[in-house]
Amino acid sequence: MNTQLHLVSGSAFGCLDFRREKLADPRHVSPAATAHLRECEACQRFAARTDQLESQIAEALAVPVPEGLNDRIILRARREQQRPWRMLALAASVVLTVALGVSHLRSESGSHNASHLALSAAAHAGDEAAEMRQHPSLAASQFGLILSNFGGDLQAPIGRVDYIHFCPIDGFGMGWHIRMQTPSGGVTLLLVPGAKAEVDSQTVTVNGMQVLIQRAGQGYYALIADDRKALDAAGAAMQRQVRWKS
Amino acid sequence: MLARLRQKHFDQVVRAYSAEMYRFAWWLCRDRHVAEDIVQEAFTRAWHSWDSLREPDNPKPWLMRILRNEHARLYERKQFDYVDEAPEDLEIAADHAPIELLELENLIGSLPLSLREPFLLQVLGGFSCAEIAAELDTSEGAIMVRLTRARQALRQSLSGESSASARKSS
Repeated sequence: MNTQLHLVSGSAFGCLDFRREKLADPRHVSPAATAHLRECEACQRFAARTDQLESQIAEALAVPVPEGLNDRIILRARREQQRPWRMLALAASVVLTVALGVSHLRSESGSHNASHLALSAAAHAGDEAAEMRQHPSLAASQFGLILSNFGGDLQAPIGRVDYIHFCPIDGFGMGWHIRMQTPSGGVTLLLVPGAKAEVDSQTVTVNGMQVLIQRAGQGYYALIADDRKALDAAGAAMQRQVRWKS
Repeated sequence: MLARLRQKHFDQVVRAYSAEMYRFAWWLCRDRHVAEDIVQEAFTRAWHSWDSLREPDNPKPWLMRILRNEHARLYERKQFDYVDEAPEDLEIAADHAPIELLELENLIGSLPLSLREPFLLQVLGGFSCAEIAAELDTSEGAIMVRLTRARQALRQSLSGESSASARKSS
């Protein structure tokens, strides 16, 4: 049976209509969708799988809430009501902390031009071997989808993907860590959504590693390689073989 | 007296909605420290503008708007143009093996913001498509398409994982 054309009791409401409704709002479907469901076995299976996925999603979304959050919110609101100047002091302290942090990182790297992101990317790649031992990789076939969700359409392979993991990038939240073998050698690619850096694009040497950061998609990507030739080749491939959506 | 009532109402609202707000913020930024900071800042801003709360019995949409603005301010959110065309390919996905929650978390977290945000507003916030459309300043139809695309992306990823696992085990 062609499920896309399956109509029930002469109704113009078909499987495609049902699935659109079900996927848009699994908990609330129209009377027409309910009537269709009663008589369509294929859509009953579809609905059962959607409901099963929905319970898994609800479980995944229920991240633990930090203890004492309510008290901290109330305390902060009351404190700032009493001391309106605190906002200014807080803003100043944040600026100072960030400035000191970046200055510290720069002095450790020996590169006064390296951005915070390039330093974090290099540090992350430095721990790559340990990370690969501890955390299993997602399937290499997911690379295209991950890149697409980040904002880039892969037009042709950049290399053989050996490892994919979603992990914390120090100071930049969560990002995708991809290890791949290219014709010019091994490179690490980090996709860091929401990242902010001082420059649009930058290539630096950090602790002997070649690091390229580039603003693209939903934030920045970083390429890290042991030698400049591999980095340049991977950087060129990213430019040539990924079409960015913005 | 009025100030005390105002404070009491604020405390009640914090206790009623802070968990939901925190989870929403966490899924926007996926960092517990940043999420808590966004939620605290959003409530502080709400407290400062408490008199502008139009629906005291239903403060959630107002709070969510403040929280979204706070997140956008923090990340200077970039806007992307997505085409809200109804998808045509809605075949039944292959049975997928039970998956690890972490894997599903990664997939949800990797959805683009334009899909993730309405998805979270629906699943975590319990908002209807019409309410989400009003909140995101778009049409209800466009929201339905984005929600469909979000779930379709999750299903496709899971069936891709499942096929890969099946190939490995065969």
